[in-house]
Amino acid sequence: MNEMDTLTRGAVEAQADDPGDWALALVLRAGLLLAAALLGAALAASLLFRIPLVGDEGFLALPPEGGLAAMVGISAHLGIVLLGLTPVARVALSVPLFARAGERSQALIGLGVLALLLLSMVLGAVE
Amino acid sequence: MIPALLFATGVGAGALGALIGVGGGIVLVPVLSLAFGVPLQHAVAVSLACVIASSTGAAAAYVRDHRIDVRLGMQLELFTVAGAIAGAFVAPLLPKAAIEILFGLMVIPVVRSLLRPAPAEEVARVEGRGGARNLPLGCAASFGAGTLSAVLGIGGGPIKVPVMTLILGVPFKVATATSNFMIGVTAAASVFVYLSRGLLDLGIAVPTVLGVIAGATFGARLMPHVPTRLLKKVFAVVLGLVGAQMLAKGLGVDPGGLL
Repeated sequence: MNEMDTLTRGAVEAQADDPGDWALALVLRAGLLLAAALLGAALAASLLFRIPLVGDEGFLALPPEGGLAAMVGISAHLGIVLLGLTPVARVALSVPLFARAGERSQALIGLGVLALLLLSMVLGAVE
Repeated sequence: MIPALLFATGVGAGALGALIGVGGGIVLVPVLSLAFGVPLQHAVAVSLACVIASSTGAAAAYVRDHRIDVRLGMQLELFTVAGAIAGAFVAPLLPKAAIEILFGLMVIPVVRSLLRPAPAEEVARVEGRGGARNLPLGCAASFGAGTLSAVLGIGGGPIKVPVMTLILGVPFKVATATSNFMIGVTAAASVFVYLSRGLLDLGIAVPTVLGVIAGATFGARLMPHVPTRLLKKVFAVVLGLVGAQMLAKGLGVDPGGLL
Protein backbone atom coordinates (compact mmCIF):
# COMPACT_ATOMS: atom_id res chain seq x y z
CA MET A 1 0.00 0.00 0.00
CA ASN A 2 1.66 3.29 -0.98
CA GLU A 3 1.66 6.48 1.06
CA MET A 4 -0.87 8.42 -1.00
CA ASP A 5 -3.31 5.54 -1.03
CA THR A 6 -3.00 5.54 2.74
CA LEU A 7 -3.74 9.26 2.91
CA THR A 8 -6.82 9.24 0.72
CA ARG A 9 -8.07 6.00 2.16
CA GLY A 10 -7.59 7.70 5.50
CA ALA A 11 -9.88 10.50 4.42
CA VAL A 12 -12.55 8.04 3.37
CA GLU A 13 -12.08 6.02 6.52
CA ALA A 14 -12.37 9.15 8.66
CA GLN A 15 -15.75 9.78 7.10
CA ALA A 16 -17.03 6.36 7.98
CA ASP A 17 -18.33 7.60 11.29
CA ASP A 18 -19.65 10.93 10.05
CA PRO A 19 -23.21 11.24 11.33
CA GLY A 20 -24.05 13.42 8.33
CA ASP A 21 -23.49 10.71 5.73
CA TRP A 22 -26.95 9.25 6.15
CA ALA A 23 -28.43 12.75 5.87
CA LEU A 24 -26.55 13.43 2.61
CA ALA A 25 -27.68 10.08 1.20
CA LEU A 26 -31.27 10.81 2.30
CA VAL A 27 -31.31 14.23 0.63
CA LEU A 28 -29.98 12.79 -2.64
CA ARG A 29 -32.42 9.89 -2.65
CA ALA A 30 -35.46 11.95 -1.61
CA GLY A 31 -34.70 14.67 -4.16
CA LEU A 32 -34.34 12.15 -6.97
CA LEU A 33 -37.55 10.31 -6.02
CA LEU A 34 -39.57 13.52 -5.73
CA ALA A 35 -38.24 14.82 -9.05
CA ALA A 36 -39.02 11.47 -10.70
CA ALA A 37 -42.57 11.56 -9.26
CA LEU A 38 -43.18 15.07 -10.63
CA LEU A 39 -41.70 14.21 -14.04
CA GLY A 40 -43.63 10.94 -14.14
CA ALA A 41 -46.91 12.70 -13.33
CA ALA A 42 -46.23 15.30 -16.02
CA LEU A 43 -45.42 12.67 -18.63
CA ALA A 44 -48.41 10.49 -17.72
CA ALA A 45 -50.84 13.42 -17.87
CA SER A 46 -49.26 14.62 -21.09
CA LEU A 47 -49.74 11.23 -22.76
CA LEU A 48 -53.17 10.58 -21.24
CA PHE A 49 -54.73 13.93 -22.11
CA ARG A 50 -52.61 14.61 -25.21
CA ILE A 51 -51.13 17.77 -23.76
CA PRO A 52 -47.73 18.63 -25.23
CA LEU A 53 -45.05 19.21 -22.64
CA VAL A 54 -43.79 22.77 -22.66
CA GLY A 55 -40.94 22.90 -25.12
CA ASP A 56 -37.99 25.23 -25.16
CA GLU A 57 -39.78 28.50 -24.47
CA GLY A 58 -37.62 29.12 -21.48
CA PHE A 59 -37.51 28.91 -17.74
CA LEU A 60 -40.97 28.49 -16.19
CA ALA A 61 -42.68 29.42 -19.44
CA LEU A 62 -46.13 27.93 -19.07
CA PRO A 63 -48.83 27.23 -21.65
CA PRO A 64 -51.34 30.08 -21.93
CA GLU A 65 -54.40 27.78 -21.80
CA GLY A 66 -54.10 27.30 -18.04
CA GLY A 67 -55.90 24.45 -16.29
CA LEU A 68 -54.54 20.95 -16.77
CA ALA A 69 -52.02 22.05 -19.41
CA ALA A 70 -50.54 24.53 -16.96
CA MET A 71 -50.42 21.86 -14.26
CA VAL A 72 -48.53 19.54 -16.59
CA GLY A 73 -46.09 22.33 -17.45
CA ILE A 74 -45.59 23.25 -13.80
CA SER A 75 -45.05 19.63 -12.82
CA ALA A 76 -42.47 19.09 -15.59
CA HIS A 77 -40.63 22.31 -14.79
CA LEU A 78 -40.66 21.66 -11.05
CA GLY A 79 -39.39 18.15 -11.63
CA ILE A 80 -36.42 19.35 -13.67
CA VAL A 81 -35.67 22.22 -11.27
CA LEU A 82 -35.89 19.86 -8.28
CA LEU A 83 -33.59 17.43 -10.05
CA GLY A 84 -31.03 20.19 -10.52
CA LEU A 85 -31.48 21.44 -6.97
CA THR A 86 -30.91 18.02 -5.39
CA PRO A 87 -27.08 18.04 -5.65
CA VAL A 88 -27.19 21.72 -4.65
CA ALA A 89 -29.14 20.76 -1.51
CA ARG A 90 -26.49 18.15 -0.79
CA VAL A 91 -23.79 20.85 -0.87
CA ALA A 92 -25.95 23.17 1.26
CA LEU A 93 -26.47 20.46 3.84
CA SER A 94 -22.78 19.63 4.03
CA VAL A 95 -21.88 23.22 5.04
CA PRO A 96 -23.49 23.14 8.53
CA LEU A 97 -22.37 19.53 8.95
CA PHE A 98 -18.72 20.49 8.41
CA ALA A 99 -19.12 23.66 10.50
CA ARG A 100 -20.58 21.66 13.39
CA ALA A 101 -17.67 19.22 13.13
CA GLY A 102 -15.25 22.16 13.47
CA GLU A 103 -13.98 21.86 9.88
CA ARG A 104 -14.15 25.52 9.01
CA SER A 105 -12.09 25.38 5.83
CA GLN A 106 -14.25 22.56 4.46
CA ALA A 107 -17.42 24.52 5.36
CA LEU A 108 -16.00 27.55 3.52
CA ILE A 109 -15.27 25.40 0.47
CA GLY A 110 -18.89 24.24 0.57
CA LEU A 111 -20.05 27.86 0.74
CA GLY A 112 -17.83 28.64 -2.25
CA VAL A 113 -19.43 25.83 -4.27
CA LEU A 114 -22.88 27.08 -3.26
CA ALA A 115 -22.00 30.63 -4.28
CA LEU A 116 -20.86 29.40 -7.69
CA LEU A 117 -24.07 27.40 -8.15
CA LEU A 118 -26.14 30.47 -7.26
CA LEU A 119 -24.04 32.46 -9.71
CA SER A 120 -24.85 29.94 -12.45
CA MET A 121 -28.58 30.43 -11.82
CA VAL A 122 -28.32 34.23 -11.73
CA LEU A 123 -26.04 34.47 -14.78
CA GLY A 124 -28.25 32.12 -16.75
CA ALA A 125 -31.36 34.14 -15.90
CA VAL A 126 -29.71 37.47 -16.67
CA GLU A 127 -28.29 36.44 -20.07
CA MET B 1 -44.40 7.31 -30.17
CA ILE B 2 -41.53 9.74 -29.73
CA PRO B 3 -41.84 9.92 -25.90
CA ALA B 4 -41.80 6.10 -25.80
CA LEU B 5 -38.65 6.01 -27.96
CA LEU B 6 -37.00 8.69 -25.84
CA PHE B 7 -37.93 6.78 -22.68
CA ALA B 8 -36.48 3.59 -24.17
CA THR B 9 -33.29 5.46 -25.11
CA GLY B 10 -33.04 6.72 -21.54
CA VAL B 11 -33.57 3.19 -20.18
CA GLY B 12 -30.78 1.90 -22.42
CA ALA B 13 -28.39 4.71 -21.45
CA GLY B 14 -29.20 4.37 -17.74
CA ALA B 15 -28.83 0.59 -17.76
CA LEU B 16 -25.56 0.74 -19.70
CA GLY B 17 -24.27 3.36 -17.27
CA ALA B 18 -25.06 1.15 -14.30
CA LEU B 19 -23.67 -1.98 -15.94
CA ILE B 20 -20.39 -0.72 -17.35
CA GLY B 21 -19.81 2.49 -15.40
CA VAL B 22 -20.07 5.09 -18.15
CA GLY B 23 -22.18 8.20 -17.73
CA GLY B 24 -25.33 8.45 -19.80
CA GLY B 25 -24.07 11.52 -21.63
CA ILE B 26 -21.58 9.70 -23.82
CA VAL B 27 -24.50 7.58 -25.11
CA LEU B 28 -27.29 10.14 -25.12
CA VAL B 29 -25.68 13.05 -26.94
CA PRO B 30 -24.86 11.11 -30.13
CA VAL B 31 -28.12 9.12 -30.05
CA LEU B 32 -30.29 12.22 -29.58
CA SER B 33 -28.30 14.16 -32.12
CA LEU B 34 -27.67 11.50 -34.80
CA ALA B 35 -30.74 9.25 -34.44
CA PHE B 36 -33.44 11.69 -33.29
CA GLY B 37 -32.12 14.78 -35.08
CA VAL B 38 -32.23 16.85 -31.90
CA PRO B 39 -30.12 20.03 -32.24
CA LEU B 40 -26.74 19.41 -30.63
CA GLN B 41 -27.09 22.06 -27.90
CA HIS B 42 -30.52 20.73 -26.92
CA ALA B 43 -29.10 17.20 -26.85
CA VAL B 44 -26.29 18.42 -24.57
CA ALA B 45 -28.79 20.11 -22.21
CA VAL B 46 -31.02 17.01 -22.00
CA SER B 47 -27.97 14.82 -21.48
CA LEU B 48 -26.80 17.00 -18.58
CA ALA B 49 -30.20 16.62 -16.87
CA CYS B 50 -29.87 12.85 -17.31
CA VAL B 51 -26.33 12.93 -15.93
CA ILE B 52 -27.66 14.61 -12.75
CA ALA B 53 -30.28 11.87 -12.39
CA SER B 54 -27.86 8.96 -12.80
CA SER B 55 -25.14 10.56 -10.67
CA THR B 56 -27.54 11.45 -7.84
CA GLY B 57 -28.85 7.90 -7.56
CA ALA B 58 -25.35 6.40 -7.56
CA ALA B 59 -23.93 9.03 -5.19
CA ALA B 60 -26.66 8.33 -2.62
CA ALA B 61 -25.56 4.69 -2.47
CA TYR B 62 -21.84 5.54 -2.44
CA VAL B 63 -22.21 8.09 0.41
CA ARG B 64 -24.14 5.56 2.45
CA ASP B 65 -21.40 2.97 1.85
CA HIS B 66 -18.62 5.48 2.73
CA ARG B 67 -16.91 5.00 -0.62
CA ILE B 68 -16.59 8.74 -1.33
CA ASP B 69 -13.88 11.14 -0.25
CA VAL B 70 -16.42 13.90 0.40
CA ARG B 71 -13.79 16.44 1.42
CA LEU B 72 -11.65 16.01 -1.69
CA GLY B 73 -14.79 15.88 -3.83
CA MET B 74 -15.97 19.24 -2.52
CA GLN B 75 -12.55 20.84 -3.00
CA LEU B 76 -12.50 19.74 -6.63
CA GLU B 77 -16.17 20.71 -7.09
CA LEU B 78 -15.17 24.36 -6.65
CA PHE B 79 -13.19 24.04 -9.87
CA THR B 80 -15.47 21.70 -11.84
CA VAL B 81 -18.44 24.01 -11.13
CA ALA B 82 -16.46 27.10 -12.18
CA GLY B 83 -15.42 25.23 -15.32
CA ALA B 84 -19.01 24.14 -15.97
CA ILE B 85 -20.28 27.72 -15.77
CA ALA B 86 -17.56 28.85 -18.16
CA GLY B 87 -18.37 25.94 -20.47
CA ALA B 88 -22.11 26.65 -20.49
CA PHE B 89 -21.38 30.20 -21.64
CA VAL B 90 -18.74 29.20 -24.15
CA ALA B 91 -20.79 26.34 -25.70
CA PRO B 92 -23.30 28.53 -27.61
CA LEU B 93 -20.39 30.44 -29.13
CA LEU B 94 -18.72 27.32 -30.44
CA PRO B 95 -19.55 26.14 -33.96
CA LYS B 96 -21.44 22.84 -34.10
CA ALA B 97 -18.49 21.23 -35.89
CA ALA B 98 -16.14 22.10 -33.03
CA ILE B 99 -18.46 20.40 -30.50
CA GLU B 100 -18.73 17.34 -32.75
CA ILE B 101 -14.94 17.13 -33.07
CA LEU B 102 -14.46 17.57 -29.31
CA PHE B 103 -17.05 14.88 -28.65
CA GLY B 104 -15.36 12.51 -31.10
CA LEU B 105 -12.02 13.08 -29.37
CA MET B 106 -13.59 12.67 -25.92
CA VAL B 107 -14.70 9.18 -26.90
CA ILE B 108 -11.03 8.07 -27.03
CA PRO B 109 -10.37 8.14 -23.24
CA VAL B 110 -13.79 6.59 -22.62
CA VAL B 111 -13.05 3.68 -24.97
CA ARG B 112 -9.63 3.36 -23.35
CA SER B 113 -11.15 3.18 -19.87
CA LEU B 114 -13.66 0.57 -21.06
CA LEU B 115 -10.94 -1.66 -22.49
CA ARG B 116 -8.61 -1.28 -19.51
CA PRO B 117 -8.58 -4.31 -17.20
CA ALA B 118 -10.24 -3.71 -13.82
CA PRO B 119 -7.75 -2.84 -11.07
CA ALA B 120 -7.12 -5.28 -8.27
CA GLU B 121 -9.36 -5.13 -5.21
CA GLU B 122 -8.19 -2.52 -2.72
CA VAL B 123 -8.19 -2.58 1.05
CA ALA B 124 -9.57 0.63 2.56
CA ARG B 125 -8.90 0.18 6.26
CA VAL B 126 -6.37 2.75 7.45
CA GLU B 127 -6.07 5.15 10.33
CA GLY B 128 -6.06 8.93 10.29
CA ARG B 129 -7.19 11.59 7.87
CA GLY B 130 -5.08 12.84 5.01
CA GLY B 131 -5.09 14.75 1.78
CA ALA B 132 -4.20 14.23 -1.82
CA ARG B 133 -0.94 15.16 -3.55
CA ASN B 134 -0.58 17.68 -6.41
CA LEU B 135 -3.82 19.42 -5.49
CA PRO B 136 -3.23 22.62 -7.57
CA LEU B 137 -2.70 20.53 -10.72
CA GLY B 138 -5.75 18.43 -9.89
CA CYS B 139 -7.82 21.59 -9.44
CA ALA B 140 -6.71 22.95 -12.83
CA ALA B 141 -7.56 19.65 -14.51
CA SER B 142 -10.93 19.64 -12.71
CA PHE B 143 -11.71 23.07 -14.19
CA GLY B 144 -11.06 21.60 -17.63
CA ALA B 145 -13.24 18.59 -16.85
CA GLY B 146 -16.10 20.88 -15.77
CA THR B 147 -15.80 22.94 -18.96
CA LEU B 148 -15.86 19.84 -21.18
CA SER B 149 -18.82 18.47 -19.22
CA ALA B 150 -20.86 21.60 -19.93
CA VAL B 151 -19.86 21.83 -23.59
CA LEU B 152 -20.36 18.15 -24.42
CA GLY B 153 -23.17 17.18 -22.03
CA ILE B 154 -21.18 14.44 -20.35
CA GLY B 155 -20.34 13.71 -16.73
CA GLY B 156 -16.61 13.87 -17.35
CA GLY B 157 -15.74 10.72 -15.39
CA PRO B 158 -13.10 9.60 -17.94
CA ILE B 159 -11.22 12.82 -17.14
CA LYS B 160 -11.92 13.11 -13.42
CA VAL B 161 -11.04 9.52 -12.54
CA PRO B 162 -7.55 9.58 -14.18
CA VAL B 163 -6.95 13.02 -12.65
CA MET B 164 -7.73 11.67 -9.20
CA THR B 165 -5.83 8.40 -9.57
CA LEU B 166 -2.77 9.58 -11.53
CA ILE B 167 -2.35 13.19 -10.36
CA LEU B 168 -3.89 13.16 -6.88
CA GLY B 169 -2.99 9.58 -5.94
CA VAL B 170 -6.53 8.56 -4.97
CA PRO B 171 -7.31 4.80 -5.03
CA PHE B 172 -9.28 3.82 -8.15
CA LYS B 173 -12.54 2.79 -6.49
CA VAL B 174 -12.62 5.88 -4.29
CA ALA B 175 -11.89 7.99 -7.39
CA THR B 176 -14.79 6.51 -9.39
CA ALA B 177 -17.23 6.98 -6.49
CA THR B 178 -15.98 10.52 -5.75
CA SER B 179 -16.16 11.42 -9.45
CA ASN B 180 -19.80 10.25 -9.52
CA PHE B 181 -20.49 12.33 -6.41
CA MET B 182 -19.08 15.46 -8.09
CA ILE B 183 -20.75 14.96 -11.46
CA GLY B 184 -24.24 15.90 -10.26
CA VAL B 185 -23.13 19.29 -8.91
CA THR B 186 -21.04 20.02 -12.01
CA ALA B 187 -23.93 19.18 -14.34
CA ALA B 188 -26.41 21.15 -12.18
CA ALA B 189 -24.36 24.33 -12.65
CA SER B 190 -24.57 24.09 -16.44
CA VAL B 191 -28.16 22.80 -16.51
CA PHE B 192 -29.36 25.96 -14.78
CA VAL B 193 -27.67 28.06 -17.45
CA TYR B 194 -29.13 25.94 -20.29
CA LEU B 195 -32.58 25.94 -18.61
CA SER B 196 -32.56 29.70 -18.13
CA ARG B 197 -31.66 30.17 -21.77
CA GLY B 198 -34.53 27.99 -22.97
CA LEU B 199 -32.21 25.31 -24.36
CA LEU B 200 -33.65 22.48 -22.27
CA ASP B 201 -36.61 21.06 -24.22
CA LEU B 202 -38.90 19.47 -21.66
CA GLY B 203 -40.67 17.42 -24.32
CA ILE B 204 -37.37 15.59 -24.84
CA ALA B 205 -35.94 15.87 -21.33
CA VAL B 206 -38.86 14.48 -19.30
CA PRO B 207 -39.19 11.05 -20.94
CA THR B 208 -35.42 10.67 -21.33
CA VAL B 209 -34.65 11.54 -17.69
CA LEU B 210 -37.35 9.15 -16.49
CA GLY B 211 -35.93 6.46 -18.73
CA VAL B 212 -32.44 7.00 -17.33
CA ILE B 213 -33.72 6.70 -13.73
CA ALA B 214 -35.59 3.49 -14.57
CA GLY B 215 -32.66 2.13 -16.60
CA ALA B 216 -30.11 2.83 -13.86
CA THR B 217 -32.27 1.01 -11.31
CA PHE B 218 -32.85 -1.89 -13.70
CA GLY B 219 -29.16 -2.03 -14.69
CA ALA B 220 -27.98 -2.21 -11.08
CA ARG B 221 -30.25 -5.23 -10.49
CA LEU B 222 -29.20 -6.83 -13.76
CA MET B 223 -25.48 -6.46 -13.02
CA PRO B 224 -24.88 -9.85 -11.32
CA HIS B 225 -26.43 -11.66 -14.30
CA VAL B 226 -24.65 -9.88 -17.15
CA PRO B 227 -21.10 -10.54 -18.44
CA THR B 228 -19.99 -6.92 -17.97
CA ARG B 229 -16.47 -7.49 -19.36
CA LEU B 230 -17.88 -8.66 -22.69
CA LEU B 231 -20.47 -5.88 -22.63
CA LYS B 232 -17.71 -3.31 -22.08
CA LYS B 233 -15.79 -4.59 -25.09
CA VAL B 234 -18.84 -4.58 -27.35
CA PHE B 235 -19.82 -1.12 -26.15
CA ALA B 236 -16.27 0.16 -26.67
CA VAL B 237 -16.49 -0.87 -30.34
CA VAL B 238 -19.94 0.71 -30.80
CA LEU B 239 -18.85 3.86 -29.00
CA GLY B 240 -15.69 4.02 -31.11
CA LEU B 241 -17.85 3.95 -34.26
CA VAL B 242 -20.17 6.62 -32.88
CA GLY B 243 -17.18 8.78 -31.93
CA ALA B 244 -15.75 8.33 -35.44
CA GLN B 245 -19.14 9.32 -36.87
CA MET B 246 -19.24 12.51 -34.75
CA LEU B 247 -15.62 13.30 -35.62
CA ALA B 248 -16.30 12.76 -39.32
CA LYS B 249 -19.38 15.01 -39.15
CA GLY B 250 -17.39 17.70 -37.40
CA LEU B 251 -14.60 17.51 -39.97
CA GLY B 252 -17.13 17.59 -42.81
CA VAL B 253 -16.17 14.12 -44.04
CA ASP B 254 -18.87 11.77 -45.32
CA PRO B 255 -18.91 9.05 -42.66
CA GLY B 256 -20.41 6.54 -45.09
CA GLY B 257 -23.19 5.44 -42.78
CA LEU B 258 -21.17 4.09 -39.89
CA LEU B 259 -24.33 4.06 -37.78
